[in-house]
Amino acid sequence: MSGEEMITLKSSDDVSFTVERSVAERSILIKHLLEDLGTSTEPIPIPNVNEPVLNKVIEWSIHHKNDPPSTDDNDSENNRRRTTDIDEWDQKFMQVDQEMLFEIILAANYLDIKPLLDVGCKTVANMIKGKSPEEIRKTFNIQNDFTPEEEDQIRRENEWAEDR
Amino acid sequence: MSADHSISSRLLLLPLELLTYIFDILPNRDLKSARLTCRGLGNAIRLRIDRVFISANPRNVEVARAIADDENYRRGVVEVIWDDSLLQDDGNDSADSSDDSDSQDDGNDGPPKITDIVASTGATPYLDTNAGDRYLVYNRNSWVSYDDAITF
Repeated sequence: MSGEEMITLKSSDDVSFTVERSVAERSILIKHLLEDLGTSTEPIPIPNVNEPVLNKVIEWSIHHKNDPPSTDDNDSENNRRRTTDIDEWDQKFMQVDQEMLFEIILAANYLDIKPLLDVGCKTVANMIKGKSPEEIRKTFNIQNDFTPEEEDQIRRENEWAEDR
Repeated sequence: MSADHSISSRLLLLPLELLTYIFDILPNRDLKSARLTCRGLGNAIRLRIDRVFISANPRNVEVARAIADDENYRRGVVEVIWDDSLLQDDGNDSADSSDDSDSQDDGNDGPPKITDIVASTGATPYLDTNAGDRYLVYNRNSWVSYDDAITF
């Protein structure tokens, strides 16, 4: 950590985290902010993210700080599509309760950390994959609020599409 | 906050763009199940229907017509697969089929006419001299290939 510029981030509940600039810059939002500010010694407030969530996001960012920058073109978009593979470290990282999982997704979206958003969304997708409607309801605590007519309509539309 | 948690699903509280992002990764098979869980997901999740099949099988035609009549889904179709060598080229029919008022005659009088089904998209037929098939192009990048009396 010799000589690298340190950045302080402050969670919504006023807890400060001091991290290397390269870690903070996993967030494109913060990266752009730092570019605009030049060098800043002031803590950067992250008003939408609380301490436990920011802690997780930073943990992820430290592990992934040396990843090559994502070239988010059509290519990576195609790779993302239909692959729900997640690397092992990320899988472990995402073994959290659902509340935290969704908080991480929202934080990654807000902070603009696309690879973390991907991992979060793939994790949710994997929780849906191969399940029946009733199993999905159970997993996500969803109430069935369909009228029989509405449900029929959905079933009818479902028949229009192939399974692929 | 914990009371809130018990009545609302975190999944359903996601903004639509993130829901879409999640369901984009999954195959239709899973989208179908998710759509059947509740009204919220039923409305939010759109099936991916990028091709329709047209054959002498009445069920194919029924589905193709239903999709053609659906404001949302019909726009997503980029490919129409025609699978029937019995199609008769009926020159009279294409002239007045631009309105779909005649789309109720459900294939009980001979093979269905592809011109009826794709008329709602404003497609124009082309003859593909290389492939020896007829095909239609509509909505800029959509096409359909089929055989008819001309190509046979």
